[in-house]
Amino acid sequence: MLSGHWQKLRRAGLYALGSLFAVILAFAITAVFLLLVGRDPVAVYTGIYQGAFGDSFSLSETLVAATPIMLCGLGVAIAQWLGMMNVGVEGQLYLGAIGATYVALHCPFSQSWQMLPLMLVAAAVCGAFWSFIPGLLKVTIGVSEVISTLLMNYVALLLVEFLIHGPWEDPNNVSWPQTAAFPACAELPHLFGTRVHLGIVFAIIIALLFAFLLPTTKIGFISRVIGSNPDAAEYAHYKVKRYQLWAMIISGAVAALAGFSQVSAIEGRLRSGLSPGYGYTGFLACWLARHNPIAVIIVSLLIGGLLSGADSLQLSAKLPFATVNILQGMIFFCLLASEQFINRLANSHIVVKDLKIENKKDPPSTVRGEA
Amino acid sequence: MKNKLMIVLLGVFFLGFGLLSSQAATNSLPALKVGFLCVGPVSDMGWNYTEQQGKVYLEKTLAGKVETVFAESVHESAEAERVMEKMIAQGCKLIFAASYGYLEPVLRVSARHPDVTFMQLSRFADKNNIGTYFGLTGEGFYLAGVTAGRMTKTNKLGFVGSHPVPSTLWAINAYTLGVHSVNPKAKVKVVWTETWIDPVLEVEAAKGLIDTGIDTLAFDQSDSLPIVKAAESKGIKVSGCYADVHQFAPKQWLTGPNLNWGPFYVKTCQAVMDHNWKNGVCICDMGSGVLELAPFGASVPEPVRKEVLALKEKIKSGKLVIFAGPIKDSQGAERLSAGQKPDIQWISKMNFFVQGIDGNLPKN
Amino acid sequence: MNIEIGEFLIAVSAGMVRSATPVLYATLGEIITERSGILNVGLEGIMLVGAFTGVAVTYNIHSIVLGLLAAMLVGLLMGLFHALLCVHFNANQVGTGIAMSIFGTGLSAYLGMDYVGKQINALGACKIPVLSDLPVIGPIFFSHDVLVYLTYLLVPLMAFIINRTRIGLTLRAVGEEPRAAAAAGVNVVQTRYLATAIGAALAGLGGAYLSLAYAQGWSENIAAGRGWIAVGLVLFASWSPFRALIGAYLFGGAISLQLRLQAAGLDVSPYLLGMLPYVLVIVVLSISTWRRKNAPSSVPTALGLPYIPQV
Repeated sequence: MLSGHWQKLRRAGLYALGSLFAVILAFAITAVFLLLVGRDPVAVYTGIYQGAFGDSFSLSETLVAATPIMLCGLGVAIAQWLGMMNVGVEGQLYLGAIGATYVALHCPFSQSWQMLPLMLVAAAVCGAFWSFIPGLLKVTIGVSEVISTLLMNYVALLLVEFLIHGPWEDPNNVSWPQTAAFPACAELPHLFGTRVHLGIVFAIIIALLFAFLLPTTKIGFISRVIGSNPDAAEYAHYKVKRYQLWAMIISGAVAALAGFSQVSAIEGRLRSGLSPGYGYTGFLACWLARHNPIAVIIVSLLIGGLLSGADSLQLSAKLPFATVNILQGMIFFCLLASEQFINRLANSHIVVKDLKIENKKDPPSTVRGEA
Repeated sequence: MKNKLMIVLLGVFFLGFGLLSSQAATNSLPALKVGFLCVGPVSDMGWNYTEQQGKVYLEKTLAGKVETVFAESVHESAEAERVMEKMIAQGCKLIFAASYGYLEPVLRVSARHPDVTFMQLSRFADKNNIGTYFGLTGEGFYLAGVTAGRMTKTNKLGFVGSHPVPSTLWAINAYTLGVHSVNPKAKVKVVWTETWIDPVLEVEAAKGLIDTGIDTLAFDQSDSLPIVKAAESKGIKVSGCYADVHQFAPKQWLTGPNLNWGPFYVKTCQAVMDHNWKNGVCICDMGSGVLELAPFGASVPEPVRKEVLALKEKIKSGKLVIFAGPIKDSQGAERLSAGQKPDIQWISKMNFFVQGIDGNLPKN
Repeated sequence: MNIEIGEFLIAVSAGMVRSATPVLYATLGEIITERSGILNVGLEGIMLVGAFTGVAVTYNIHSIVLGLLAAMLVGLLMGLFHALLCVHFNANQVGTGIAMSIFGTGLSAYLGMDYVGKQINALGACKIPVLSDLPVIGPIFFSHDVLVYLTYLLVPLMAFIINRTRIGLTLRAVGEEPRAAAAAGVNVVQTRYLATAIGAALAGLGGAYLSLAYAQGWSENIAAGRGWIAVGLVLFASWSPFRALIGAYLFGGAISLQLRLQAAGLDVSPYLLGMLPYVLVIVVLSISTWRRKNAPSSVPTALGLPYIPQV
């Protein structure tokens, strides 16, 4: 018999190793494609690796790319723990950016310690508001949060466009779609003299906080009960709806931090090209990480590396941008397909029943009751 | 058993990486490595396509002297800065940033790399290593407008706009001024798609305009084909933008501006190689040879062709200026007084509709 | 004045039917898939590959019918692949779907590079005797192409099959209580494969509609998010083909309306008008959910759950 801790560790190890093999498999399949189009797969993959982790600059850019994905992924995870599927982190990111921008442009502070916390709060409030609406619709009327959050993404993007083309237009740069530059005090501190910024620290703190709170506190326990079986939780007189609404609110607030850190540390102003789909990538990261906060951080790092390393497909291998998507899709397919084998290996000492319980946590919130 | 297999495979993996890293390639560098950033897919047969064609021309003309690095679909976000840094790490000494939204990333990257030359589209920067260039399609749109103004029967013309940014407003305003120069009764209607590229929405927007009774279409989305083909099948006259796609509308094609970046890229690269490049403004208009007029469609009668070609010569020689005072906006306010000729700064900050456009530029 | 408003509304409605059709195909397909308990959120990728295949085959073989069939076939294959991952590998269905979207976007863009600007015979409008000549109804519903008319038949047919036939019962049983269905002699695995494949084939057809009927050619990322909207509309429709029709028309109608309001000279920011389709769908969904608050939930109970045969 294996002790609990040892078992957990073994499981984690198996996941890491299994995922590694899945990635290698994906690279092997893509290698065939690369050979077909006349590229040397070894050179291409070296380029990706170098571009993602090869030197300190590449590594820093990987962290920069990973930061918003981490925050968005954590946002998705928080809602998912209580059985709420938040597809709207992209929109909540944009709302966070709007909130932070409002403060940066309109508040007459000159000190970072005044400006930044207020921007952070404004961003969190705006993002929370954006996820509160679908949360409220869900718990009061029963409108599926999947569709409302998805559609609100589009509304959020159009709202940003509206603001930067209209009321918040840069007065010194009329008609170009962006706000004026933020004052210097509204810039989130950077780390190590690179573009890496405090956002990544927020992400790690939030992940650690939840990784610690979920298994140890009463709220965490109730959340897990609600997430795995809302009917049983209802029966136990837990306030399911209130918990779920709060989960959505916190989820949106966390995702909004991605928007805040992006406008504050990277752009220095609000623009429409703020996010090339960080929210959706974060959503994927969260599902690949099986909603585990620590795993979200690690998976986001790897996806960030993939995103930034894949530049070399265009820059060095002279392949079109489409190949970046092909490679990514391939890797995700292999990762997802490998889970089954890892599960089998991980559970080889345990009765199969465990697998079923494990699986029950995963399905989307639309699923209720017993399978 | 399975675990042992895994360990073996893992060993093979790391061994493989060890071998990989020993194969460091060293190439001899050409005289100049040039990077191109473009915001959309080069397969759009429009804006981004013209940039790629210019790159191909550059490679051919300065073969052996210039090497290019090209990146498509680079978002105007954190990505742009990273891609430029990587281009520079590869040895690029000249970078063309072909979208207005790249300016802020360019400013930050250029500050770190004073030895690298940047060419920024449509926006100004007061830095020693950043030049500005304009693809001033307005002159072409003006001539397309003249053609359309002569050809329209209903005196209602449609324009499918992308985003209300200055570069689009030059196009719409120049087109309208062209229409009005020959047909003061005509009105231009504008519908925005709020995207640079969404073929299906563009077609629906064009059909929405056609429902209002227009008989001539123009557009400025970065992709050309959907609207041109929709116009052809609906029997609506159409003018293009950026790339020459007249063969897709054999019956309904009028004309349109064409961008031919090649010579401009060659000139800039040559200047950088000869160390006599200076930061300034390059205006790529008809006079410079970058902006050309697409061939006329079969339906354009000879007198109109002659008239438009004569106007083209006047534009080239500088006798005809598109945005010349007096210019009033659609609400009647004077934007440019009589006799005044605008500078590029004025044009680059355009934020109004000229008279003759049906409706106001929606701002709030 | 009244005639003008009438014409305006007819134009908006005709645009509504046109804009709704590609999304409707994908939504209907996804309804079949989800009724069997499989969640396929990869419609975006499947639509894109379908759109590309339609153009490629039509261009090379000069037959639009074969182009449409090929788009469905490729969709079918992608559906089978999704089913393979979900049924046999028990992969996470949401994740697989997203991967399918990313992969499909890349694959279609890569293969499509050679087909940009290729001339094809697009699917043109065709008249139906009598019906097309009716006032109001004619221009709104019967001034389009064959694929639009096909939806008029497909929606009632699907509703009939799902609710009234043995095939439909089997499908629903597999999506609700797979173990009970298996005990009753239904082949759960086979049903899920078939449902996912057929659903994806319809999405492929919807994609081909975008390229063959709408844009009349291939263009990178031509679906521009319509696959995701279709996934959302399935929830709007609560798995009913008729409600899917309403949802798709609502969405398409709002797009058509906002473009024509602009053309009519309404002085409102196009960005605010652009929100109309999304806001309208949320509002209508909220109202209808609120009114049917006590109706039994129509979610396929086993949706998204892996099926593990023996206990």
